[in-house]
Amino acid sequence: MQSGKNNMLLVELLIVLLFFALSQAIVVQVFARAQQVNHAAELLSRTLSTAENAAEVLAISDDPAEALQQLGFTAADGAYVLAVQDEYALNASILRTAQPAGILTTVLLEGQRAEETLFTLPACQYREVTAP
Amino acid sequence: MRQKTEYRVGVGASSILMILVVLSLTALSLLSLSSARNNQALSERNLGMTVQYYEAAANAQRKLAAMDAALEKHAGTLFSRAAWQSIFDAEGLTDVSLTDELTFAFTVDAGAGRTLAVEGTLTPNTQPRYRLTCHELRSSALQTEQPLLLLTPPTTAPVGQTNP
Repeated sequence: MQSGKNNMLLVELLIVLLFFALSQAIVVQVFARAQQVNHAAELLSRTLSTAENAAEVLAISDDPAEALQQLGFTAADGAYVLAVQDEYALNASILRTAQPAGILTTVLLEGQRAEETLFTLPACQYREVTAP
Repeated sequence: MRQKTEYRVGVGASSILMILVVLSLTALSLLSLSSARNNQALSERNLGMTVQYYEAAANAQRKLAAMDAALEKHAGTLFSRAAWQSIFDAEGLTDVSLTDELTFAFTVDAGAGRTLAVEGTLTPNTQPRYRLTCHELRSSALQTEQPLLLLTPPTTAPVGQTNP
């Protein structure tokens, strides 16, 4: 009878361990998913913060190309690229539109993850042009 | 003779302990995932509001360019407030309001119950042709006397560049 009780205890312990291992396999995946989501949100915030900083600098600069290079952007195929972290990067393209009395310079700052565009931030500046 | 007492784990105690541990870890993991999702939603909301603000600022610059074009077209002439208002209305700048002292003001919607208020003074016969005095982000949801975010430009507007 004592050995019967011992056998029952062993079987129960085995079942408990098996169930514990199965449940923890799921719980660990949930924790890992939460960590991934947090990391992605942090990188998105960091990319946005970098784009905002660039937009504020561009709003007061006379030469957007020079300002972008001073911010760490590298020129590539007519555009400017700044790697933020992992697959996140900022692309900047300068558009100059002639207005009747001045020049409207728009720098489009695109936040990208791999090939996906996450957001587009326009940094626009209008400058009067005085006649000679 | 004293009998030696043996202590044994009863059947069922390990099961109860396992159930408690699994339940607590499951609750922790679900709370962690919920917190991460909330953090992500907050980041995306912040992203949307920031993009809306900069689009409003870009629209404000385009409006200033249109105003400057009208000022340049009629430079050197002395007009009253009503005359300038009719000139602006003819150029499609119907939401630009003027005072007798030739100060202008307009607002651009910045989304999420906010507006970007731009104010300045017209100086059509001098360079530059206008000067900005106010560039504020106001929230219509919270009506306060002081603006929530004051983004005033420098006291003097940038001097126009020479035509290349």
